[in-house]
Amino acid sequence: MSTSRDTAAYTPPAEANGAAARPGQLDGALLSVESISKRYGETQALSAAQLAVAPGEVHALVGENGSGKSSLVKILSGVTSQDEGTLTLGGVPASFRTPAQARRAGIVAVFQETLVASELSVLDNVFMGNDGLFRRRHRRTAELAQARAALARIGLQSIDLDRPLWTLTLAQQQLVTIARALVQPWKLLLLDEATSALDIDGRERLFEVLAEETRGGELSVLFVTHRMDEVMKSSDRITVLRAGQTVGVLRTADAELDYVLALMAGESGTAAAAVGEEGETPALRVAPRRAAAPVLELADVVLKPGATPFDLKLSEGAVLGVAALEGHGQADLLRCIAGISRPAEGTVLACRDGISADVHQSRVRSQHAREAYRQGIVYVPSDRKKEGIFPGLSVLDNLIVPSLARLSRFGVVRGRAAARQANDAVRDLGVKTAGVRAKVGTLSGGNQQKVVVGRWLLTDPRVLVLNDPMRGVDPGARRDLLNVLHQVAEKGVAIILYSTELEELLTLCPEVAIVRDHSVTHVLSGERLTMDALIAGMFGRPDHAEGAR
Amino acid sequence: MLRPRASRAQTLVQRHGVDAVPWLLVIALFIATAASLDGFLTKPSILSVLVISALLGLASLGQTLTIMLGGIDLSIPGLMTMGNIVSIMLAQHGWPFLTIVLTISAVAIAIGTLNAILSRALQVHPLVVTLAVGLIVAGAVLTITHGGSVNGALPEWVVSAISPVEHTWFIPLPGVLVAWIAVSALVLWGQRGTRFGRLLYAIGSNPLAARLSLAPETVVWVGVYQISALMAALSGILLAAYSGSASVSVSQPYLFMTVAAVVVGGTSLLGGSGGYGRTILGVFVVQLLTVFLLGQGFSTYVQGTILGAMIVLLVSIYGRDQHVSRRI
Amino acid sequence: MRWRLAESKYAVPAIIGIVVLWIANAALDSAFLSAAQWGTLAAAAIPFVLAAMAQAPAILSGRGGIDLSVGPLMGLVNAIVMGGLVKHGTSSAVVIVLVALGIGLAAGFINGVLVAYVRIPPIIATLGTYFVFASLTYIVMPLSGGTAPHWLSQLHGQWGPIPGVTAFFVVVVAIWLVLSSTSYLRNLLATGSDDRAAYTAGVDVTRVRLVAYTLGGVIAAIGGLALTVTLGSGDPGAGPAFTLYAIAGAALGGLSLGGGRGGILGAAAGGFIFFLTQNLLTAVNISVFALQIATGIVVLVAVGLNSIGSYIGRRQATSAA
Repeated sequence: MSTSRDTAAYTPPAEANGAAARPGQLDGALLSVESISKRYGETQALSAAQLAVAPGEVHALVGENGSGKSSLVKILSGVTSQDEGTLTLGGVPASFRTPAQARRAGIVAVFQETLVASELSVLDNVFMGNDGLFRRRHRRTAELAQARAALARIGLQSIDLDRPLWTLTLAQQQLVTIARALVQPWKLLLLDEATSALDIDGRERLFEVLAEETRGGELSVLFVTHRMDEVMKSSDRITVLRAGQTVGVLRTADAELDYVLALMAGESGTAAAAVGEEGETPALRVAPRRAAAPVLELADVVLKPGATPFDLKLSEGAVLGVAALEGHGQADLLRCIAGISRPAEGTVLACRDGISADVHQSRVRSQHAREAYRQGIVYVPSDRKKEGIFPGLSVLDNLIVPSLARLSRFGVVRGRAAARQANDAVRDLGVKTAGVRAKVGTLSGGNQQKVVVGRWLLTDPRVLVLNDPMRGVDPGARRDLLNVLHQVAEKGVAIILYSTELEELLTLCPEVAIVRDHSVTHVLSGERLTMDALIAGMFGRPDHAEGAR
Repeated sequence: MLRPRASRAQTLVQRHGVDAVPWLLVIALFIATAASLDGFLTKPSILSVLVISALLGLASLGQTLTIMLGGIDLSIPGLMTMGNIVSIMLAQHGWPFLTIVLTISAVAIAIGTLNAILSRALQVHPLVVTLAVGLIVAGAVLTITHGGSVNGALPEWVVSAISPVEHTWFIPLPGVLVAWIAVSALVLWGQRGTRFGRLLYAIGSNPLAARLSLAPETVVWVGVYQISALMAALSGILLAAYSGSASVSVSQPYLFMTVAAVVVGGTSLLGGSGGYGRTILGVFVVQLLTVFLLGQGFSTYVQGTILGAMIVLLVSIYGRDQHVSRRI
Repeated sequence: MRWRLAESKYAVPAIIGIVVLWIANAALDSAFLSAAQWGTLAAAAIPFVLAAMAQAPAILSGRGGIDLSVGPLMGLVNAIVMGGLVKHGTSSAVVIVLVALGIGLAAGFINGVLVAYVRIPPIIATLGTYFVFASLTYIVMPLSGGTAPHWLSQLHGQWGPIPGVTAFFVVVVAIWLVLSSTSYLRNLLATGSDDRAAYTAGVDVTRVRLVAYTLGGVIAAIGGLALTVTLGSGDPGAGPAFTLYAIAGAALGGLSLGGGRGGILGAAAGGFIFFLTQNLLTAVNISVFALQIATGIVVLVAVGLNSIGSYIGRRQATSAA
């Protein structure tokens, strides 16, 4: 991606609005971020990102999944430190080693995950972290008054401050974490998708309060969100991140939503609509088979109580992409297909030779995943470090774990057969390793991911469910994986692929299901399957959504 | 930016240092003992060290497996007490030795099953469960035998199998050493060569990934704790043969020595790494240190202090947890 | 002081347990009915109570927090007081108390550094120090014996109906009350409940844990002095068993073994329950070995009840959310 060109192309509107030419610079900025970079192992989360927040403004930070928003928030809030670049707060260089330091400097953060102590009272949760190790900042009566006032402002009146937090709804718990940020003196409030747990009323009230707070011209709010309506309605300015870089800074009043979406998607976003275009990656879409036998059928599935029911069908060799913003239930969809979790309602049927079997038929929970496996449904998890690899074990051992029963006789592993299959897998997947005996922990992220995928291909699956397998994988390994998936599909294996990389979905999948609010809202295919339609669907733009259905 | 550097140093140690530590310790202790103790380099005294190593080695087998799995087994002394006292008691009643061994094995396997099932079902760390079960087992044995006052005798061939000066058939080694070598060979092969062994490593390395790979966790847990209990009980019988009579207290130090042997050998208490080969080295470290310190006139308690500190030191090199900021 | 109410809610089953066991004990053991023997009774109970209280801060600090070295540390303090000080003619109350507290502080601090800074999983770090303290005890005092100084053995008696050993209990409760008037208790429970939440909110979770283990060491040292009163002498083998009793007591007292829930008074109640069951079993004249079996079973029942309790707690939490 030629970001320099993008930036050049997209800065004019910002300049026209009187902002500085370089997005990180702003005269009298409350906070400015200069060329911040951060790397997590293989992944370059941020590369020379810029950001400037003026005093008294509500600033929105937007970007697709994985564009570096969360990393930036973590750096600003002191959870982690940058590798390179500088932070300036109120004109003074700042560097935070802990969230406590950031708080003292006046930066308070609220995260998407509702981080609360569920056994503690509302009051204790509001004032958590406000004191020293031993030193109390306020008397209890003062705390009560402040907490009550802060909670009332954001819509939690008349709540018993001594109730343990777990007795509150998730939305109420999230409001408590916001109140936690408000009860102490602050200059900059960071909201990292903190509104996703709130309902519409709660969100609107919150933004009203924030508008009031910032009106004085001293306090500022920086918020990260996937809800574009929120951005367009409640922010003063917008910074757009893509692939760890700042690609645009706009004044909201002058910004067009389509333009912001295009910035987020990048140049390829607008062009990638066409299938099989020239470019680095050739289209790998598998043509739908005629009269292919069905392998999977979801009927009236409700992923979460209250969500809309939906149906989904998959036949041999089909490749279904899944597009969703994080937290919209795509993981639940994949996991209930693989029998790891259970839908609130509805059935997941695996079909073989015309006979259907309910994956969740057993009363024993742990049997669901086994039943899915017996039916040939296998699941490649998203977080390979946490859920995928066995870091201290060899590539061979990592590959054969689910196939051990098949690869052993009377409990003794058939070493030669195992080694042969592992070697074949390493060759077919193009795993770059010193050999099958090398520890998988020494491999690069992309190669580790290939091993995790290969582990399941060795079991000869009929349905391959992949939960964001390309995350943190380098482009070369990504291409290899796409090719492998293409070949597998050609052989008749059905694939369900969730990816945060929309381009990959467009490259590989003839059909893409959009998951929003814990339900499949559309299935796009053919001409309707374009980057724009995907983004519109994911962000819930009503006009596009209607057209796409 | 101290964190990345620290972790890099850690990986370096992980890759090379820890592997070498037990070897260096064995060699250093051997030289030190040989230099400080007259007559150490004679066949009988070397064989004596090997025999006590075999006893500890057999008792530590189960500890190795439970720790590789991410657990621990503190019921080992209780089971050793059972093997020790009950074997003598049954011999006193005139039971044939084979029947004694089979009976004790069956009971031990049942206790091991109980350890695993209770830890899994209650979701409590096996440390607490096995400690309590060990207490119950020892209490039961002492109740049955009225405080362990039994005086039977094990068959002559069993006693001679553990005497350093005996030989086994044509092999010029006592039976217990031959048995330890055979068991070690079996385990060293089995931990890689069997389905059970590979699942054990996988579950210990990453339980969540193992669950998603449909590894039968409970089966492996039960199997490992069964092996641990069985080996502890059998070691208890050998200990009875070694000391010639039943003893209530002789098993107590094994709580500590089995853990020390495993950790000093370099098997991480976080599970998934190491293996019995390392424990064999750890066993030699523990027993050579014992001989060396006793030779210097120190008590076993000095040894306990040193080994306890060594555990903490070695774990702080390779068994560290993530900082809280890495989990957000 | 609302926190005490909130804390006592979790101790309710423990208090009911105490009442029931007290009645059962009274039916079998006349000492429970005559106030003149409460001093002796309390002296027998106090090590159990203090051991469970010493365990509490570590468990409350969460993330697998546990202090296995509590028992051996109590034994070590007993050994240093009897085998180190008294044996060599030092029986001054000031010296003995200061030395005991100093040992507790240092030992707890070492545990705290290992857990919080070196980040060794607590179960392993404190198992290591368990071995070290248990062995040091025998080095300091290889054989049991000696007679506790007068001012200590006096506590074995009672003033009116109030047992002398209550003093130890009062001291620990006082420490806890002082801490709870500061912000530390909130920090500790927040860290134990969810250290990520606490950390992002600005709590210094590392120091919170360091203080928790140090505090546990100090309470264990006070427990060691109490143990000296109970024994009336020194015994190098007396300490280690209290680790298991302490864990069981904490579990019985409604502390979540996962951290963040409960308080030190609950642990005290749990420790007392543990003592009462032991006493009850002794009163029915079962052998010392059968008592050992019973103890093991009580421990298993304690952790079993505890895990059922947290299971129900989780169910409530999910249904509320």
